[in-house]
Amino acid sequence: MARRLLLFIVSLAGLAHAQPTGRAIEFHDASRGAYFLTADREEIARFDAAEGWARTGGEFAVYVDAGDAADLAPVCRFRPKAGTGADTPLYIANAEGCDAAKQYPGWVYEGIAFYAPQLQQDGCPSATTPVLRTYSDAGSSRYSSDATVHAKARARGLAEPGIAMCAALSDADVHADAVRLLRQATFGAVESEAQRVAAIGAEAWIDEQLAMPATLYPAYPWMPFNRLASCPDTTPPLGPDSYCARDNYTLFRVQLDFFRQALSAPDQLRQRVAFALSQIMVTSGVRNARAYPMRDYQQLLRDRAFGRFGELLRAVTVSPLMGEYLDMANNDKVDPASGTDPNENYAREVLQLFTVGTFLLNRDGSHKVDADGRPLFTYGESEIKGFARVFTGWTYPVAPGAQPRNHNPREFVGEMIPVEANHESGAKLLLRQTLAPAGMGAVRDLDFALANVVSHPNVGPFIGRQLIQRLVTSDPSPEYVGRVAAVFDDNGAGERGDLRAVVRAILLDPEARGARKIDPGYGKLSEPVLYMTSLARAAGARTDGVFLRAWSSQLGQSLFYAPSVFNYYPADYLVPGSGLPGPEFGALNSATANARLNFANNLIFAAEIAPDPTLDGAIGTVRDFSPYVALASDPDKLAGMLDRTLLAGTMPPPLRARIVSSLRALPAANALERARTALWLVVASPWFQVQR
Amino acid sequence: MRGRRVFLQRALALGAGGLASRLVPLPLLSLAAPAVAQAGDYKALVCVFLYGGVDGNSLVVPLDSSGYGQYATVRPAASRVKIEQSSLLPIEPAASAVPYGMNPALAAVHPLFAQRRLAILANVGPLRAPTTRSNYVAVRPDNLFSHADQANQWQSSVSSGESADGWGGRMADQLERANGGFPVVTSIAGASLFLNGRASNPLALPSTGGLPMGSTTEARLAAMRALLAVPDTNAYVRAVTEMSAQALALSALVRPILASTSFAVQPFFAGQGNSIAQQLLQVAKLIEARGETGARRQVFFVSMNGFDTHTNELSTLATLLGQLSPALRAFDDAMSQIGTGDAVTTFTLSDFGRTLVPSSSGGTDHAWGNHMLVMGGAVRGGRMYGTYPVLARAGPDDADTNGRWIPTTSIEQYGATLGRWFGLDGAQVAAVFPNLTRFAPQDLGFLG
Repeated sequence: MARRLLLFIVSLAGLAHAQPTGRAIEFHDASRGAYFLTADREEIARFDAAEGWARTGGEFAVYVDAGDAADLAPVCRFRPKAGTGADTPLYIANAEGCDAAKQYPGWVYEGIAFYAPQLQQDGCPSATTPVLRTYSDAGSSRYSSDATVHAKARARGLAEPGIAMCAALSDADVHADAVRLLRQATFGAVESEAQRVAAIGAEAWIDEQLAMPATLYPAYPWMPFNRLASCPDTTPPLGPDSYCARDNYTLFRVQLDFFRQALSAPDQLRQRVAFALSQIMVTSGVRNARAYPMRDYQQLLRDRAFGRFGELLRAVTVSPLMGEYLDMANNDKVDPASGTDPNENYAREVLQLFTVGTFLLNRDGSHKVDADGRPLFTYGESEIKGFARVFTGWTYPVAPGAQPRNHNPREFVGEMIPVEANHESGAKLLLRQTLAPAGMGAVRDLDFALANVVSHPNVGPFIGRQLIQRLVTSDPSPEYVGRVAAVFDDNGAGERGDLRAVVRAILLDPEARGARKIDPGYGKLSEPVLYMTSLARAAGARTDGVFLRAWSSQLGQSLFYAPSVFNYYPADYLVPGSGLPGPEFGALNSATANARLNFANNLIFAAEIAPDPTLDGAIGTVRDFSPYVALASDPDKLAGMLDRTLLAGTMPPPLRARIVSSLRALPAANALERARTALWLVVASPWFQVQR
Repeated sequence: MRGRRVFLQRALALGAGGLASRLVPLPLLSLAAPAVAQAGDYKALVCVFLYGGVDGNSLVVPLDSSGYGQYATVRPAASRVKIEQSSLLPIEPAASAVPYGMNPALAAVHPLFAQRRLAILANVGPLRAPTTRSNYVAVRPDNLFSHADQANQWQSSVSSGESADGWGGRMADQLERANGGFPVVTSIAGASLFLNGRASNPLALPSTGGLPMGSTTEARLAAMRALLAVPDTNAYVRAVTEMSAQALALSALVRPILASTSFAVQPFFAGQGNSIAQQLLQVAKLIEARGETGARRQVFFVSMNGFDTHTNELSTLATLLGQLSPALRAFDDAMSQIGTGDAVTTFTLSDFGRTLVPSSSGGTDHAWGNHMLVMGGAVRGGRMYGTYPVLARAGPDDADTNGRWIPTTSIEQYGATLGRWFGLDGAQVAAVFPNLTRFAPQDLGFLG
């Protein structure tokens, strides 16, 4: 079922169907828990005006007349004889079903409600989306094209299997899904790209992105670990080397290059995934803020973002920057003379954070439990000690011109190197009661142990769920996690850990795609960096990165300076009040919430964001409001355009009304001020801050 | 002033609109009549969280020859984590048979111990029930020795399963109504589980300044405030709405208060530009301004990072404690200066203790029970509470063979002692610490 759904969703791009001529709208009465779906215009108007009823946001396209398109099926409507008339009617999208239902005494036939594309043997035709039937707690029927609504209802036994009917996709639906995809897969939706996605389809666009080579961070010069007096921050005249200390002994330049490329480089998906990985396999400028090592580490993540997970993990493990950060570099075997044991830091975090996590997981990400319902754990202290012994006997690369030693001093070009004399040679206990045999040496021990970790069934759900959270939604259904984990386990060609296939599966999943997501637990708060870049891209900005860099720490995400290996915010953070997972909310508080509003205000209303006089080649941040200015004379139109391009059609009526009234209060002659005001109200609002 | 009043009335109207029950209504009264005589009923708890897991074995070391000998046996000089006996700062805890020594970097607070303004709580940590070496495998907390899990356990006092709230926030839930509307919990260190209550939201402030609202024009702000009253069915949208609305309202209240340049507490922090000092200065300012905020019960949260000393522990601790100790001292002095010395109690928490057994590269690994500091005029100082562990590998207090101390005092006992002093009655203490009944005594006696 899941795979079939996936196939239909990914074929949304076709444009064979005539534009739909009507829309089915879903309403909700919270006091009774009742839902009502109708495509009848008069009925829609009645519900819009009715006390206690509100639109859920759920809607899909229909055809009003049989001749509106080819291959349409009549959808007949029944109401329950016993009901109050205020619950969703029964809709049946095929003639035989209708005839059968007419014989059933509990239902009253009301006629043909609308027409829908014919359901085929193998599912819905191309350029349509399945509509699925679920029930509310109060027993009210729901028809929705939102796969998450169906998945969550299914988990509670409140869903019908199979497809209720097919819904055509209007141009607006296709565009909305394109905008949604760009918010998930890039550093912010831009209209030209959304139109491209709409034209070629999500699948083709994703494949295009997956095929793109990695954009390179500029190469920074090698620098000795300790800054020499010949590398100061000097005064004018300004040249490329004027701020040698800042540029090489802080992450200033890495941050600028990150933001600059996030706004403009073509390989958006790769950079987005690399950024996600940088928050799972964390290194931090808090420990080492030298520029070239962090550049190399972030480039490593970009280069391997669509490769094999095992290769990524090995590269991360032998990275000298990681070696320093989690103390694998110069980690020695047991030394009776000093009474020291091997350092457990990398052993613990590579298991807990980078690969398997502490809880044994089912493939859908749920915890495995014992007979008493208590969670089972992936490893204990014995395994930590085993891995700590594996990770002994590695040291930094040899610095240019230096003599190799058993403990090389800190140096970050290339990979760490093994030193057998410091490696623990005995057998080591690994995961799942596997023993690494004695005497294999540092390199074979490492490869054996990493293979042991990567083969653990936890990796797919553990890493898959986190990548879903970073890209799509904070609380994916277990089935979504399970589908992605299955692809991690086998990419279809029998290969495990193919990140390209995993990313593709995450973004093409029915819970990721679709024009409208109405499940109340769907979506995620845009973390500070993504909030800033998506806003800057919406403002048409080109930047040297200085402005964004400066704001990132105020918003609670000082780029590449995570406070600890546990990232900028806890992966298991629950949103206060709701109890839903929401990692990014760990960085949202009254200080950073205000900073977000202030950032938006500054980016949009600053008369100029001038070049930094200390940066060679600075351009500042140059914005282009012209698409908004062009519509400023017509507030309604401008609001509609912002809704379409930035909110994927989810703008609530009060926001639209507020934009219109705020703009009318400004003189029409001041088109730029109107454009800025409208843009600010949208991007500072919660509806933009949350990606859905 | 008039503008501020109007703004606050709007903020209140917003709160009354039923947008969010967790929204804090603002104290109009305290603004209309600032500095009402509240000094008689004010108390604050200041939590200093030492992220990474501070090595308690390097904070407090036995100074008698037997105790120090045990310490030095496991930590020989070659391990590079041994503190020389001669450099430890001696203390003589009341009722203790033996003297102890404090880390030399704690010099600034060391005199407070003899002045009975500082106490040590030995070997405290997360426990599901009283635990010994023989039953520890059966009753140990989940995911022992993991940063994230153990820090959450210290902050939530929930040692098994997950918790969506912390004991600072739960105290706030109990006291919010008595606080004149100002949030009970204020964090100068961003979000943390400790702060989150079930029915209350913390105020979070940057370590300097108030909550600046930029140059946004009043019309734009008014429009945004109206938008932040729009209900939405999506939980994430609602959470952002709530947080932004609260931030805007509190910004208007707190910004002008903290903009003052005449704080009496300021000079005590002169020359201390580091983060922990700036955070504690911000706390001191808010306590000094309690007449304006209207707060009567406050829980503050500040933090330091970097205590995960897997390598180079002694030099790292010298740096970090070298910042923490003068900052704590300045804070204590400042509190005495403004007459709240007896009304403010400062205490430490941390992810976990660290192994007595050193690890490669001059550091230590993750462990469990740890020694904490409690400071203030209300503290029955000059004493060590709890039971100091036997410093031996595989000894009676070791969970395994690396010197990972099984706590002999639980977080619940620690927190409940603070909470009772803070003004929680028995039922409220039970609500904040549901597992307290598993442990005795329920008041450790270091306060009041």
